[in-house]
Amino acid sequence: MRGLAQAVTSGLLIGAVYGLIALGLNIVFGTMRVVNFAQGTLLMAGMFMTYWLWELGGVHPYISPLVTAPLLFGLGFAVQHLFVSPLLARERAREPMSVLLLTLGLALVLENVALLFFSADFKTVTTDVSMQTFKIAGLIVSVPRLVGLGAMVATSLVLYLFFMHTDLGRAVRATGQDREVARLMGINDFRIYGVAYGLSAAMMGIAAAVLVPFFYIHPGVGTSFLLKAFVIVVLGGLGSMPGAALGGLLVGVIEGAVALWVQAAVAQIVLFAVFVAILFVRPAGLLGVERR
Amino acid sequence: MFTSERRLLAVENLAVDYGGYVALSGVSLEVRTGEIVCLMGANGSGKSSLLNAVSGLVRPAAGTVVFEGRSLTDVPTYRRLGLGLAHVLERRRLFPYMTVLENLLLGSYLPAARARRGEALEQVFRTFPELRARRQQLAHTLSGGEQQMVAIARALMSTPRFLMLDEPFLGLSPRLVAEVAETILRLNADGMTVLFTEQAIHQSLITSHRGYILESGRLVLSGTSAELLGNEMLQRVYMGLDLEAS
Ligand SMILES: Nc1ncnc2c1ncn2[C@@H]1O[C@H](COP(=O)(O)OP(=O)(O)OP(=O)(O)O)[C@@H](O)[C@H]1O
Ligand SMILES: [Mg+2]
Repeated sequence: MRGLAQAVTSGLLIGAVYGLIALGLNIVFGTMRVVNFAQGTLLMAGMFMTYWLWELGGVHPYISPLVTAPLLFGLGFAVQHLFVSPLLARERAREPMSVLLLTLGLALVLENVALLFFSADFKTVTTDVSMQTFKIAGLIVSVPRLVGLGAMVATSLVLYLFFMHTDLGRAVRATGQDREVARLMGINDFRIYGVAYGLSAAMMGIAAAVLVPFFYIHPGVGTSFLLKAFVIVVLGGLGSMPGAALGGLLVGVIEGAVALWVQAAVAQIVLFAVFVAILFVRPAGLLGVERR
Repeated sequence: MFTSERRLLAVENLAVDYGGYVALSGVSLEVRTGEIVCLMGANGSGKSSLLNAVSGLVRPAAGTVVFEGRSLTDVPTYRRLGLGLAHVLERRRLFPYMTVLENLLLGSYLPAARARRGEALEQVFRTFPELRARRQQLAHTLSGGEQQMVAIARALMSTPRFLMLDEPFLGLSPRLVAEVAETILRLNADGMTVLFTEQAIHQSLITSHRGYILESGRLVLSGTSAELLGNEMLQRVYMGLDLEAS
């Protein structure tokens, strides 16, 4: 029982990071109806930025989002402006397939560029917090993972305030709900797409910052996180923000608990089995009623 | 009846083409400051296509749209509201998962409108008192009539000079039709210029100064509403249908 409680705790904490990535995926999907296959790659880019800031500048990973988040926002905005928008302008479908393929292509390019420059070696960053743990009610809590949970909660809160209480945030939601009407309200929909894509990229700077102290860094690191984020987003309901956060925690817990009894690889299979089972019961996902 | 000679909107030789299907061709019409003009026609005659070409949602294949003496050809859709040109789409098209208030706030998204937001909200709640109590209700849970009110209110939030309404009476009970018609007249009395489309000919003509009739993408008849009300062909062909339909 103690073992299970411990596994659930650890799972919950890593699940928070999954949730953060899923949130990023959902912002883009909710606004543009595009599944962003480059989300994991942006996380990888964020992790390398964090790594180099630490190696070259001695910048602590937890400070690095001050630099990486704006950089990634700019990168995301530029990618949207240069590649996605021209394609979207020509595509009339509500769920544009060509853009989806474009993000996949982008992911492959970025990943190979990273391979070329950084090689496939695993890199790690060992900071003061990396190995820190403390005990609470007999459970071992890893400090960097707890920071991850805190970061997710804080980021979700800021996003909530942004989307619900600012004009720009409302404009992003409006564009996701009805792009034509958004234009009639004076909203430049392509600019909004840039903001949404940039925002979800910037969030990967935060996810990277909390991951780097306890997770290896290499060019393929984004892929495994992306797969989990897909599962979470579909589980929680496409486009649902609370669904993404909740789904992330759930996936982390399932993964952690199952890994107690079986190997990690089998745990992945169990995870996907649970995923399929939930979809049978609730095809729209756990919280997937509202689309915004 | 007040009509100044100043042209607010001039559409000339407009053509709209959907990948080879010609929805409008050679359409010219004008709306003068202070007028209520209605554009009538059966399903598929091209009414929405015309309004959409004016607001920019549809790119014309030919012809020009001039608003306050300025050609809109190179003005992107999202810049047109800022010129004072508001468009309420067919079937209301509220942001469904937002509250009434959020929909209204989006109507004043533009910086200039944002500065006058509080005032505009008060004005809109004076025009539609029933919306005040429904501020926090999600738009998609409103009745059709309420949705139409919100759609018009949202368009008014930027205090435009010109309001285009696409089938504002669609799907409304006779009582609500009268209410919306009265709103249009009241707005006009306060200085708003209005262009609206409708299939219900009689109701349209008693709510407007002038009218145009579209048939298969071409204008076939135009005149003052009083003239059109007395037009025999119109009575036989359209109002007969009107009566049957209702
Ligand atoms: N996006 C589109 N693609 C192809 N054809 C279209 C498109 N939009 C409209 N049409 C066609 O153009 C013609 C005119 O359509 P439009 O919507 O302007 O008519 P309408 O007078 O508004 O009709 P209704 O009274 O039914 O709203 C119709 O035959 C319609 O099928
Ligand atoms: Mg129409």
